[in-house]
Amino acid sequence: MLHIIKKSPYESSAFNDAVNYIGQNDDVVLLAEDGVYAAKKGGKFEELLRNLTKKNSVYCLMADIKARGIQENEIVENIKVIDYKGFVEKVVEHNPMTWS
Amino acid sequence: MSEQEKTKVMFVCRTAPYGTIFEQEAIEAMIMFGAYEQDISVSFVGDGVFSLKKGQDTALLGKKNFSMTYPILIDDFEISHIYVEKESLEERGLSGDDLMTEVEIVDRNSLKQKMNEMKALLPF
Amino acid sequence: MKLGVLVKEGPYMHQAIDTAYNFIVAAMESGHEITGIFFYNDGVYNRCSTLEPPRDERNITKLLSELELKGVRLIVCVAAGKRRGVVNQTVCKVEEISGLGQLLELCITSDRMVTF
Repeated sequence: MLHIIKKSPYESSAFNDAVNYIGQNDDVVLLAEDGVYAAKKGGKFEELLRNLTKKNSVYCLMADIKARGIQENEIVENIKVIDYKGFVEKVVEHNPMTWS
Repeated sequence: MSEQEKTKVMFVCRTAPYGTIFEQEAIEAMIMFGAYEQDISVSFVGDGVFSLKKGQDTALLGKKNFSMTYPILIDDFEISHIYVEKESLEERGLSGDDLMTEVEIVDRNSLKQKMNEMKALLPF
Repeated sequence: MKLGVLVKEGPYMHQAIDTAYNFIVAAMESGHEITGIFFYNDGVYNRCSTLEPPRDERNITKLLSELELKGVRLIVCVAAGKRRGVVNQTVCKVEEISGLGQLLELCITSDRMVTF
C-alpha cells in the first residue's frame, strides 16, 4: 500500500493512524501538503521517521516542502523528495490510502 | 455475479460522528454502493469507532441519529462486513459491549491484511 | 494505467484540489488515463459556477474546465451537491451532476482510486 499522509502530525491524528497501518513489507509512505512537516529534522517525529525509513520507503512532495520553506537538507535523511510525476509512479506501483 | 468478479471496496471511517458531515455522507455512500452487488466492507479506525457507540440521542442536536443505520447495513443494504479496530476501541475506553450493533472486532494487523485485499479504499 | 480520483475537500480552504490537479496533469503527461474525478463532501463546491477568485489568483474553475476539455470526466455528487446548493442552476455544467453509483463505477473501472 501507498500511505498518503496529508495533514500535519502536530495537528491531526492522520499521521498517527497511518503509522499504525504501515506494514513491514512493501508499504511506502508519501508525505504531502501539511503532512511534509513530519519530515522536518529536529521535530518531534524525526526519530519515528528515521526508524520508519529503515524498513519502508518514505517520500515527500517537492512542491509542498518548497512552498513551506523547507530545504532538502532540513528533512530527515533517507526520505526521498519526489515531484508529482514521482507521486503518480508511486500510485501506479502501490494501492493508495489517503490519511487526512 | 461470482465472488471473484466483484470489486472489493472498503470504506475506512476515521472521523467521529456529528462534528463533521463525513460519517453521514459515508453512510449515504455505503447504502448506495450496497445496491450494486459488489463486495463492500466498512471499517472503523481511530475516532471513527465513536460512530458505533450505543445510546446516541440526537434529539437536542436537531440532527438525524445516523447510528441507527449500522444494524441494518448488512441485512438490508448488502454490506459484506463491518470491522472495528480493537486497539482504537481500547484506547478510547470502549469495548464490544459499548457498541450498538454486532460488528467484527479485529486487531490492527488483521484489518491491515483485509485492507491489502481491497481494490479501492475510500477514507472518510 | 487507469486512475480514478475522489475529491472530498472544497476549493481554496483546502489544498486538496490543487494537489489533485497537479497529480492529474502529471499522470496524463506520463500517459495514464484519468477515468474521472468524483466530487463528494465539500468537494462539490469545486464545480460551483459562481466561484470568482481575484484575477491574480489561480482559477480552480478554469483549471478543472481545462481538464474537462482534455477529456477528463468531472462528476459532482447530486446528493452532496443539493445539500450545499450546487445544483443545475449553480454547477459549471449540468451534465456533470450524477449519483454515487458513479463513484462505485470509478472504483470498478479504475486500476487505482486516489482520494484527495
